[in-house]
Amino acid sequence: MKRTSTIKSAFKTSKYGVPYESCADSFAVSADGKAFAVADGVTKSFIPKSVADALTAFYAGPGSGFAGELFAPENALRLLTDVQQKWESDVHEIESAADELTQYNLSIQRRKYGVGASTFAGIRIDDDGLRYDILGDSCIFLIPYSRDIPPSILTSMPSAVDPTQDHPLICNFGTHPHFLDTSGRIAGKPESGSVPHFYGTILMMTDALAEWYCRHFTAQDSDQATEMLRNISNQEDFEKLIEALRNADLKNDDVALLIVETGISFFDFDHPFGENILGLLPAHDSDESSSAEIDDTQSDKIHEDNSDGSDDSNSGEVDDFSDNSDNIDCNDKGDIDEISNCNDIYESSQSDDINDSNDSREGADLSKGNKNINWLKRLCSKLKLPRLHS
Amino acid sequence: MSYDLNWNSKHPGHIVYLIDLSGSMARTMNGKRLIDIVMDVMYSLFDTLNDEILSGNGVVDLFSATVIGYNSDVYNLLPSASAERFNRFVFESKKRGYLFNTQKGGDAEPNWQTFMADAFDAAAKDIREWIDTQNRKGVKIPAPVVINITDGEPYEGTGVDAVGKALNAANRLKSISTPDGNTLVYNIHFTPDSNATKIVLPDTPPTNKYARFLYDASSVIPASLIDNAKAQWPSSRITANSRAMISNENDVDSLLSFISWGTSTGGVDTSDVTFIEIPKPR
Repeated sequence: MKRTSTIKSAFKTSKYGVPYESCADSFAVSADGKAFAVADGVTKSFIPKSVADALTAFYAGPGSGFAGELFAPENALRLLTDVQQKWESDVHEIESAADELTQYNLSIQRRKYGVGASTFAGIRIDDDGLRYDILGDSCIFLIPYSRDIPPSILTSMPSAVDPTQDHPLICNFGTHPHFLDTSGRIAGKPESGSVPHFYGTILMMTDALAEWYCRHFTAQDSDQATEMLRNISNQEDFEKLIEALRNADLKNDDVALLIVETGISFFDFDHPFGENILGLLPAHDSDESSSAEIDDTQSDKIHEDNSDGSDDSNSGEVDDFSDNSDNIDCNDKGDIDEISNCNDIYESSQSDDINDSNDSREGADLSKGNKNINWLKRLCSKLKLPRLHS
Repeated sequence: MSYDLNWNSKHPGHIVYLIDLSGSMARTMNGKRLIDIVMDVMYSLFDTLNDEILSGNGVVDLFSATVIGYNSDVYNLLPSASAERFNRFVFESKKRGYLFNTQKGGDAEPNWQTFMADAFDAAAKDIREWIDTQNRKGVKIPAPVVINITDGEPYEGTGVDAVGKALNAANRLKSISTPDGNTLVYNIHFTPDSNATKIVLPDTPPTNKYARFLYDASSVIPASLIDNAKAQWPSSRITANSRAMISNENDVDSLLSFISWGTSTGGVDTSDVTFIEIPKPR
């Protein structure tokens, strides 16, 4: 069995009225497409953007790498040191370049807050499953392709999933979330763990959008909010959607969204996880249309470094199996090979410093093509959101 | 009239401060002129408001602010300053050691009489212009807020019904509406007289003529501010009918509390405001 992980899209935008380059949310995807991270710089802290960028870079940037849990003592020490150094360096650079008024403004904030702080959510995917590390109210939602399996929410804030409720995703987005700061403090209790078998859509979001998602993810029509996010094809659409949501009921805050699709590229019935997978994969009627959803070429790209000796000739079995999964979007095939862009993703995410907004903005658009935004309008209409301004 | 549209960069708020600059503001309290106490109070508030709009090396467009002084004339001391201009104004105030020049010949020197009607009308003009601007931008408009700080009743000379004029002007001001609600008018009467009975956020009209004028000239407290008001003034009877006014206030901290409380109408956090005297330049 080979596990695929496909970065489908990653976007971020600043709160309304604030320049994109000041967005204190960050995301990163590792070059091998196996590590994904989002972070939310705490607004009421000093130069939080730098902290968020340092966190995502540590987790998924070039040269990153650590074993075990991110917040295990040996890793946490490295992480905190790294974040602190990056933040100090950025602060020095910003203060050095500031005019008199900006220096005054920075001095006020330094005196008031003292430290930079950020929340964090990251996942690493390999053949053994999905590992996650979370601190604060940035959230990871696991939405299985099978509707028979309930969704999951991963966060270090109090949360629960209650499939009997109209709104099954429950999370306490408190005003005092857990965070990490540049004094070397980890406030609150980080959560780390693993999910051995998951096939579906992984949505990683910072708090504002996560809170919105919890409110709009309904048991009755669970796909609607998810599809709205999954169908975003470029940065322009993303910003239009966020604007429309803000005009309705999305909190005006920085927003970061990273979507990963996971699946299996072929299936070996002798695999020890076989039975579990059978239980976890969707039990829909057979549909002959989707066997090519993960074609060999793309699968090879995704797993170019995965040489576990699996036999690609078994892909016919996958075809049979994934035929069941009509939730896998054939139209997204164009996005499946985006792993090859992961370096760009990382570079763009990290290069969006104060002087380099435009490039990063474009770079954050991972998807090919510029889909018509009619789908957005239709979805807005369904959700009774204000009209999108083209 | 929901008054639930909080100020933020998507729909910034607007606040107008009216400061009485009549001659009686030169009276002293504990050795300091009333006008200088009011300026220290305003500086304390502005310092906190400035903190609220800072974000990294930028400024968040949270609100715009106007400061109007009035005596026998009306002075646009700070005309409709955007958050960015407000930030620069506070920075420059700190450098020069005062918000506005209250000394002889200065733009905020206390002098002459109390043409409060003109001040309310000037506020109304400023607010209408702001609403027009926001409408042209196509943004939502939180109900504007006006806070009037005076040490006495309106007076325009003998034979002039200055109180009636001011009340009419206040009512015109209060009638300026937005979808979020009508313009909110807060009034505080600040006095060195420690024997007068203080009237705080009354829910029935006071019997005293001038206190009654302030009552009529003030808005009913927005529902979102009632709990906070009860916490700030626990010994006062505060209800949904209470008016946003205090008469005979002679405590500086309470003056600051009232102005900060009124300023928080749009959800801006003023809970950290503490009284600080404006530092003198080195």
